[in-house]
Amino acid sequence: MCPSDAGERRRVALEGRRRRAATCCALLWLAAAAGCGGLSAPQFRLNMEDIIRETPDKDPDEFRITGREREQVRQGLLEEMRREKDPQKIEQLEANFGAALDAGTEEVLKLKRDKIKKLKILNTALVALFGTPDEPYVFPESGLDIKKIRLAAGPAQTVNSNVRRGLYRQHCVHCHGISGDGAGPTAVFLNPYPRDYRQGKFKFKSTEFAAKPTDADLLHTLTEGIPGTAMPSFKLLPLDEREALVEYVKYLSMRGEVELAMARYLFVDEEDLELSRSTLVEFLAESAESWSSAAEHVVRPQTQPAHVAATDPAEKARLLAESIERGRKLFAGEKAACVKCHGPTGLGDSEDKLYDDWNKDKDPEKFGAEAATWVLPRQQLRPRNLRLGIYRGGRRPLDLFRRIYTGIYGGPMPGAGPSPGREATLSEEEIWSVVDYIRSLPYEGQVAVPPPRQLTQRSRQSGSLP
Amino acid sequence: MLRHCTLICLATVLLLSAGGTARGQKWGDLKGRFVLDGTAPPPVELDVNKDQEVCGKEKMFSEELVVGDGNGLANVFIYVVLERNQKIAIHPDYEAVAKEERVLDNVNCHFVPHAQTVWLRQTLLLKNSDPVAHNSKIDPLGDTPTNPLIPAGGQVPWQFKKSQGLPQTVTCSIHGWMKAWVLPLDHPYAAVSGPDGSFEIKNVPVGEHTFQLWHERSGYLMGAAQQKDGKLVLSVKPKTAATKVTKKSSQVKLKIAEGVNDVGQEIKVSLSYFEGR
Repeated sequence: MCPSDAGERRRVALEGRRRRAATCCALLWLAAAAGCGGLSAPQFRLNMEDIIRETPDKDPDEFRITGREREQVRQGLLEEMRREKDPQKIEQLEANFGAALDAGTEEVLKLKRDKIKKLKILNTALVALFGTPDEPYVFPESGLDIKKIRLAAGPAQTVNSNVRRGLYRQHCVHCHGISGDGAGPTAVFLNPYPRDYRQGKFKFKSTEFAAKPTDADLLHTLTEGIPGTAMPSFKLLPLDEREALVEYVKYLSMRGEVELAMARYLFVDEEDLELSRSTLVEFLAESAESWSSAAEHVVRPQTQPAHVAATDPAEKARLLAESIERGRKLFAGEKAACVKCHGPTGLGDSEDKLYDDWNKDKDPEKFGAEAATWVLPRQQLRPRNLRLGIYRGGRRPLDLFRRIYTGIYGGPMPGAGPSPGREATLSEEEIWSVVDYIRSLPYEGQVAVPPPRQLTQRSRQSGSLP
Repeated sequence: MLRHCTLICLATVLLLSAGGTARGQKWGDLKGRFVLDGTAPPPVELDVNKDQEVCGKEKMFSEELVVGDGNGLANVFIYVVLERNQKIAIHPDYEAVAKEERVLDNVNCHFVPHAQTVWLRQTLLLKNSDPVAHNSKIDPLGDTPTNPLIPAGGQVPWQFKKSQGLPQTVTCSIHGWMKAWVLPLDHPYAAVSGPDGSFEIKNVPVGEHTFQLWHERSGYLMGAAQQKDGKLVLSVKPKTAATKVTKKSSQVKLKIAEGVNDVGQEIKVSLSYFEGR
């Protein structure tokens, strides 16, 4: 059989599957539309508004003004009258009240319809670029592997005896949510909240401050979990399944970033979005590029601490003690200034008004009554208690080095290393000293204890064993 | 051969005419002064909970709404807005400005200046004149974010890469009350009103430009232009609680003439812009 025959057969088979899927979808949609059971395929949640999901087939021009919106306009006009002091003008305003109210509501309605139109365009663009949770799709420009994504997407099921599909919905969705917005059903009970991938910001990684994590970083987080948080280890999953999940996290993150960029363009810049392939790719390209170039931004220290290189045990101990002492001074001083948040004793108790990027704008005072409707209320961030020996980004000296060198993206922790255009605040040697000091903190007070052998001898002499 | 000649001739003519406009370009200065129409609410005192010996020297107040002498409204951004891919002629004097550094200093635990604009060709120098450490967290929309630690007496240069539609915040994580606003733009035609409410943009190409007015507490201010006695006058339309101020509807077209365009020494901004949140 010639290869083209095989190709042709595969195409036909695929076509058949696609058609069956389409019929299935259509049936489901019909069922949902007829209101007989609310069984519909899950959709990615738009960051902005639920209104277009609730009324997907309604023409934006069919939307009417609500009683509440009209009341708001009326209150505004009344306020304007109260403010006016000139009796003549007040009379004028009173006479024109009805007309002004109509004009005001007309204006509000126009804005509302425009907004809904734009939300629909945003939704169409995102479905075109990324498909749906059950039928994911990626442009080749995204650099993503659709095979891996398909393994992770869709409902959880086992097919062909051993191939498990729908991995994201089996393992991740209850915390991270169907859109990767970190607002799954269990999220509200957790502190910290699960990561919202859509901003493309990840805290614990090997790369420079604002760079994306590498695949290896995400795989590491998935494999080891994040100590001190609800993120567990998925070491028991086979490697190919973990890799599929890493790809899916990247997919959700990229989708979120494109959504944000498009929403800004439509609603902040108030521009019109043309639904052409080239425009869509333009929005996709920036995020895709940042992901594919992540590996170029890995932070690799050029030196290692002097005590690591030393071979003589006494010399090693002396150098380490020296380094710890230097680190202690830096920690408390105005150069590294760790003390400002992590506290003089390293308990992380010196700053009580910190929020990460996902929480900083959620100021209940600013939002008033709306704040009560938030699924995830504002959550405060605590500087790490360094006496516990639990480090979210990993406990290896290299992990701690990178935290200090780059800072924590998405959080308030600043970076002390160099970045393009600027010199380092702390030299590598100084950073290693801070690392040594931090690593000594959970055991402080035990360092001065004599080595075990002497202790035992003395204990024997006094007749009691420790 | 003849066709080649024609092409070359055409190109030469085009080049000459292009050079001609650049040389013949006329420029005008734009100046004015914003005042608050009403009595400003008393400023909110900030909770200085750290580094008291440096930051607590004197009482510190929120700079969200700063009103100076003669009710002058400070920190109003006024800047030219360009369409996508639109170019604007740059006056030769700005060549020297491009080489100047913009400075964002930390003085007694607040940012100085509180609000400023940066031309993308300029570098923003994040400086720390305090004897305590600071950091400057900048997360501009769609641009590279940064959060450098700046030791006592230290400084860090920063280069913005993207023009923004709105001013962006700079915050210090160590001292939570600190906040500044920076607007990176791909042209130098922008100003922030000073403590007395006055502003000046020098050498704007003569002709009509779209301007945006913005204040951190109110957001967009609705600008309006009219000609009075042959003079260009800028005003800010009053608003009510129900008025929805959008970007496009708040923009104003100003026709800059040669020489000094004083668009008003009392451009009134109604108090309702700053009430409620």
